[in-house]
Amino acid sequence: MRSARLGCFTFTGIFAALVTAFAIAGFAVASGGQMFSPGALNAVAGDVLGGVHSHAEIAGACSACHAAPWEAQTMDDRCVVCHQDVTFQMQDLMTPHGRMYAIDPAAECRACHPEHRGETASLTEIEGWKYPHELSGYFLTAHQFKAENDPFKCTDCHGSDVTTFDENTCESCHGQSDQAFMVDHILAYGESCLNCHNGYDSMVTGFNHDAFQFKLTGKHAEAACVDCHRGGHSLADFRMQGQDCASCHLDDDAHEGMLGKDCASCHTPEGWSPSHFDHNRSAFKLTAAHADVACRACHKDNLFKGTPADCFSCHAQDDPHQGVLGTNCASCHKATTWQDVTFDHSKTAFALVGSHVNVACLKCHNDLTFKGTPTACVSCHADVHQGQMGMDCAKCHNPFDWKDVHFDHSQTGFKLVGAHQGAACSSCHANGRFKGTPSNCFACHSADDKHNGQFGTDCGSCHNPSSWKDVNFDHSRTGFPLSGSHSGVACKNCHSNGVFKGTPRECVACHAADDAHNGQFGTVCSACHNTSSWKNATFDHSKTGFPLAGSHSGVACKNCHSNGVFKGTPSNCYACHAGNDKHNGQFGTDCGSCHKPTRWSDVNFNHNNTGFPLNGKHAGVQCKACHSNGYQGTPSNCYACHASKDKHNGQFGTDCGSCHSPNGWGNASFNHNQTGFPLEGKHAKVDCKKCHQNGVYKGTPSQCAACHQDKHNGEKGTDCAACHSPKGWGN
Amino acid sequence: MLRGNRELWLAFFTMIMITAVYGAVVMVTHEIPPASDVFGHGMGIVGFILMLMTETLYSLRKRSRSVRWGRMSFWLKFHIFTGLVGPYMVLLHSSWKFNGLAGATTLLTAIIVVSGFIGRYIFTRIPRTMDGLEIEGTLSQEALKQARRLLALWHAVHIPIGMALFVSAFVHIGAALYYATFLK
Repeated sequence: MRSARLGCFTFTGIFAALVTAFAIAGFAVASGGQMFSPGALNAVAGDVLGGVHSHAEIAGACSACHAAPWEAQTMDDRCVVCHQDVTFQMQDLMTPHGRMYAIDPAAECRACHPEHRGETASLTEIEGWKYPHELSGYFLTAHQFKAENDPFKCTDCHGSDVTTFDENTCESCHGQSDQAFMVDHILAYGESCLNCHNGYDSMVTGFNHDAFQFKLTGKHAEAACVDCHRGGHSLADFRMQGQDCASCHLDDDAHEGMLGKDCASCHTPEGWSPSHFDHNRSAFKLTAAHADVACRACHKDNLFKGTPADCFSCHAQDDPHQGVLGTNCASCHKATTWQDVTFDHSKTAFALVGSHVNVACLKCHNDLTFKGTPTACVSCHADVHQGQMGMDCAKCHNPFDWKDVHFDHSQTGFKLVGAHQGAACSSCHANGRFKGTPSNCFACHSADDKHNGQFGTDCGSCHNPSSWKDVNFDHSRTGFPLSGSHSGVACKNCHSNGVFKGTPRECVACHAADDAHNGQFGTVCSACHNTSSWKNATFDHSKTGFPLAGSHSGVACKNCHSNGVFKGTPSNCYACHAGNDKHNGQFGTDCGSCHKPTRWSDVNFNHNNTGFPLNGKHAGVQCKACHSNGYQGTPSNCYACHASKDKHNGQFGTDCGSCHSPNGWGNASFNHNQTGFPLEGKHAKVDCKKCHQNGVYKGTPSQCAACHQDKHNGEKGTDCAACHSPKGWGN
Repeated sequence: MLRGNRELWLAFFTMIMITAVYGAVVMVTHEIPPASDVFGHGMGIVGFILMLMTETLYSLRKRSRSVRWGRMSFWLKFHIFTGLVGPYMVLLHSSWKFNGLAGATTLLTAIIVVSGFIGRYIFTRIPRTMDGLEIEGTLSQEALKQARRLLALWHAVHIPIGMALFVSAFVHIGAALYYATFLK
């Protein structure tokens, strides 16, 4: 029975294993461990460190770099045995090693410096590290993202070796966006981009020249960099660029150095033109029009120094006086315009006054001849009067205004009054004719005559010169003096159509339309009316068949004469007062038979003429107390009025007058003796009510006991008169 | 008895999967995975463990008299599977650099895989039971004798190569530990 074992541990198997082990050991001894190398070491020769130019020279000596796991030393310790400078750099934050050591003290050299990647492979690989790139002298500020917004990788600029940089890389990328610019830029500044650019800004869009002492304004802002920084190949070159004008503009000097090198004393960056030379610093101050003249107008050929300052040097050809007035133009002319002359004319015999002051010199001195100019008015002014007024214009006119004429018209035969004073001379003196102008009204006003000659040609007999409307006609000289309202009436109200002559004088001629009576009173209005007012009429009604008396005299005419009808107005009362009849015709239509014209209540009726004369209290009673329902047929018996006042309830019949008189109810005269019980003795003096209690008279018993109480208690019977008489119980 | 070639298909499929993962890593990192990083290193380790299983498990099962887990045919299939996938992963671990001892080890790995294919071909010439025991009578005696001779010869070559490979691999692992893994 075989023991369980691996099938490989055969003799040949074990032998092969031993051979292999020996072979490996042999190789290790022979090659110094190189067979364990995962790749060739860097063979690029550099400075001599540790006695070698490259790692490849110590390829077999693994332990030069690799410490055994059980040793205290680390690989980094082996690195700095040769790379001693790195030890110092790690303490200096201004070095990449110092900065990165500060960022990550645990970082190992091989994190950035891989080996065994081939003889020419880069020994530095820092992708993904926050490498402080600015320490290399180049900021990555403007190189964070590529055009596609991808973050930059080290390899994008550095290729496989971050320790090297080919400046052609700049051009190959930036040329893609603007090839023409790059070509120009490289031609202007050379191929070394890093001489000027440090990556902090783009130097194109973000570059702010104004941050420097020399601000770019005006045309300077439009200039290309190279226009000033010519041949600059480094930042130092740019900084060395002179800031004075001549550094750049020496070739532009149109003055060929005559005016010095400080262009800015006259020019600004806005442009060579306009320049701002302060001419007043020279002996020739520029004033008025001289200030606007182009420099070259005086400084021909750009010659500035030694330019003569006298007027004629420049203005000889401008002199219209042909030298007669000398060469010093400024003695008369100002610098503003040629026309602006300061000649004191008052020094001549002809001082300028009024409009003469503003007249252009050439108006009088028309051929620019100044000497010997005549002073007479007519020598300059044409006479519109053609000599009618003589040669001396100043007799009427003054130098201020031709129209301001001071002619004294009163010296002529026609003094100007009223509206004539304001009339233009030419309105009477047409065609400039003054002499022989007629003075009668019609000579000028024939066309104004609205009366067509009815009043002759002497307008002044009625009109005065103040106004046509100011008429002064004395109407009383006609056969129709104006009085009352007539004097205020406009002329044309009567004289329509401007016809004055033959105007009729009758009232009706004008007032036919005003006749409110439709001709009932004829055509002579003045018979009643006067001129003060229509209403102020004076009609004598007493001349009619109906003189007005009492209230009639105060009544308005139209109350009776309604509708303006006067003739045939009836004179009976009822014609007007039918509506006033309160008796409903009971007394007929002649109101005047009872009423007076003074007032209605003034009645004159004699009741005694009726069948019922009014006596006693009847005379003072109001008519309507009895005639409540009218007058006709009023009954005359007492009860017709007094039935309600019968206190006897009809016991004595209806003829109150049989006992009572009209003088008062109290004066009743009843004859008791006519009854069955004549009053005798004391009965005659007894008050009626003693026996007729409660106003009952009829049926009153005549027995004694009916009124008298029996003191005998009936012992003697009821007939008291059997013993007693009416003279007294004692009898 | 080894029938069909399902383990070959399975191995092939697994290798396709690994290739896909490898391709994805290449796509993401834009580089060949170096032997020293997580992926490359991991593949080397897993591949080597698979190779170690290839070398040991089938052999132990075949020779074990006391413990008999599973059928021999299964372990042979597993041996073939790991013997293909393991070396493939080691190949990818190489990051396609074949210098020094590591290169030599890779070369030996390639040789042993090819040798394994040849061995499998010879092995299947002899009819066997499910447990790998030879079945007599189905092959002519002459043919059977020739096959057995060939198989013995192949064994004599295959096993030393394997031993050399593993010695080389262990030294490589030791060097890697020394120079890289425990590097301070």
